[in-house]
Amino acid sequence: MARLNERIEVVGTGAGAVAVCGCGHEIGPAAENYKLHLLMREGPVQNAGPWVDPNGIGGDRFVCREFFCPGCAALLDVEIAQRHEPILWDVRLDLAAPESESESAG
Amino acid sequence: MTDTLAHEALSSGSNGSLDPVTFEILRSRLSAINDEAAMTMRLVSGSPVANEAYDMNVGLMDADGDCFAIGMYITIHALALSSTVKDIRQRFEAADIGPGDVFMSNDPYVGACHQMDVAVVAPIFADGRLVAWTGSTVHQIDLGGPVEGQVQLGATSIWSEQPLFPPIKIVDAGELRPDVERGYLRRTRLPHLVGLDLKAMIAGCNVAMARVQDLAGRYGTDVVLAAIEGVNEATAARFRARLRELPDGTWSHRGYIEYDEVYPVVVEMTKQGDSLIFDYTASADQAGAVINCTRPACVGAVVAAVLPYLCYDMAWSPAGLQRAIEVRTREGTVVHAAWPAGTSKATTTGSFMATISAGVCLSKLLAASESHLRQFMSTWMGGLYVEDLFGTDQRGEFFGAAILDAMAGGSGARAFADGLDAGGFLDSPSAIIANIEDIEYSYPVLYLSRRIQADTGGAGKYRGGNTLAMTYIVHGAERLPVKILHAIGTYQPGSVGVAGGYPSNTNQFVIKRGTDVRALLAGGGVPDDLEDLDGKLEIFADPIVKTSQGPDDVHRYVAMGGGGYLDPLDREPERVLADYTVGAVSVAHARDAYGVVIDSDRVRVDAAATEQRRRDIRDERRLSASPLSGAGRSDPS
Repeated sequence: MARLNERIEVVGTGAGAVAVCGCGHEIGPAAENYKLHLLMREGPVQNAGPWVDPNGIGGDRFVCREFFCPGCAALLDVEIAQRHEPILWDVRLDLAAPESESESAG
Repeated sequence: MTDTLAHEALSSGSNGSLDPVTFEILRSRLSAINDEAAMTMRLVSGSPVANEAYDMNVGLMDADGDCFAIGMYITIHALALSSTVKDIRQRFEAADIGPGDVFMSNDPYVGACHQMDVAVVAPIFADGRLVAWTGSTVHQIDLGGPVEGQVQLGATSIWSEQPLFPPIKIVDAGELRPDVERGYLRRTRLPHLVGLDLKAMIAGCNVAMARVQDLAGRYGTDVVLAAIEGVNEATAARFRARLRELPDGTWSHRGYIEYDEVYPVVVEMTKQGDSLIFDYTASADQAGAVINCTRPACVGAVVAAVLPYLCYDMAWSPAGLQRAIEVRTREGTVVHAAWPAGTSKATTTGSFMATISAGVCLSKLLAASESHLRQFMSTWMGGLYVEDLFGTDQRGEFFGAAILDAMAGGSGARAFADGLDAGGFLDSPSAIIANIEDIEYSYPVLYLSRRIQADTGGAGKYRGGNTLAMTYIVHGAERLPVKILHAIGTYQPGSVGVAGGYPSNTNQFVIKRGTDVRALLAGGGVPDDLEDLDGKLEIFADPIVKTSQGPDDVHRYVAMGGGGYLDPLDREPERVLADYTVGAVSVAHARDAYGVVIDSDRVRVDAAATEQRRRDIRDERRLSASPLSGAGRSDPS
């Protein structure tokens, strides 16, 4: 079975394939950016941790975007971006690829 | 070597190739020769950069200049050495390349990663035939230019950076050319140190030359040539097989370089069957100077990322890998500088971020593979802080130094374990940092602390490795008149997390001015951190700063940790407690990031409070986050 990562699997094939969270929640079509079907919280970059630019020298140029599963509220991705930049589509699996080629050996 | 040995070695393989046993012996021997050349260079060099921090490397190239064996140090240099040899092959007449010749260059538009990484290469002849090249490089602390050290603050083009020299012959038929050496050393503020490093690089080449010639003498030149080609072929075949085991798709990342503005380094990696394409064409246009890298450095940066992520069990032959990798760049960008853009800090800006960005894509490729998940690593230290110091040392002599402690950044979390605290950085499998005592002996400084800093690794089910924090004062001299502090990852953490892991901390450097540190030390005390001292804190907002340090000033910097993996709420509470007991995670961070409530008096997890805290965090997530409409928010690329 194809998967974006340990937490998000792709169920089905072709145009009907969907991305599914480990909790079973259907995130959305696998051919689309999964992040657009999640809950997002956008805040200052300092939200990423206590030692992230604690003195605020970067001003508000950068933001921390946290993406949560609408089903289980699991954190599925954290994106650091400039405030004006669009949400990055970071993983696009080739769903047309034969499955045997995807995972043939270990 | 006897004729019989050569005949047997060549004839027992299929199609005239080597038999497997001979091939493996020669492959290992060539690798060992590389290691010996590196060791020689370290022993001859007087520079702490080479023999304490290993900011150097060696490589063996085939007759055409393709690097078939790179040393276990800064791997980006594979392409620098290779490109330098190819330039020599193109521009020098064959008759002007002879036994005992050694060439040198620091020209990034030829191949050097930046002007400070001088490439020294030498042809290796056996039986009157050119069979291979050897190369070595050491980061130089000063090679002239208006500003001390590597970062040419204020430069607007390469004309206002360190002088360039395309490949020139420094050793002619075994004889050092004193005129060329004099011209080279005239430009630096540190002629003794730079001169010794030059001899070290030549010595490394000499050792490799002699050993390869010995090998050709023992096994026969044709056999050695077949082994060299065999290394490239074997690596290419194994690498292509590795790619076929992994899922097809496209992975993207945006990394950032802070300078006069923010310069994104954007990469789109497409893995299809047994090929890998890295497309950097959407990266930012170049700056006038300082932060750009040239195309050879960008290609080397990709190789530096691919080696540790995908090639952990095969010979490190960059030329073999390159048969399956395509790197696309756009001239005039921060990762493919167009002449005469400056490149003086390239290895910690343009090419560094090219490596990190490629590494993020590779980590997500591995995360998408069930069979290779165990090799997954989240982002290693995504921004390197360096400090160049110049002044008069405790012996009354002029000195220059590059303090590279920050190379002990945190490594990325793995899929089954945390990242390593102070694990190093991705570009160098052998990275180390100097002992404090060595630094204090060499330079007029006294460390007050150097320790692993809690909470700096990215939170996650598996957390990123924490990084180092240090404080020091001037010692044995009146002051440090020139300190050039420079880093990327000061506004944002370059070590991003994966699949719900958080990024690491950012690079930070501050100086507390006019403190009471001397009185405290005289009374037998040692400050634990800046908070224990009176004085005025100076926070530097720029990612590159030229400043000085007086007798009562305390400098502190915090390097960068590694990225985390998976939601930190999935981390076993006992692991968080274990981190707390060794000072890797604070009580506050345990509660805020991991939802683990630690009873610090009893040194145990409060299970009920932890369960409630994690429920609260999930509720807070649902309340504070919003669904996305989708339209217009996604990157169209």
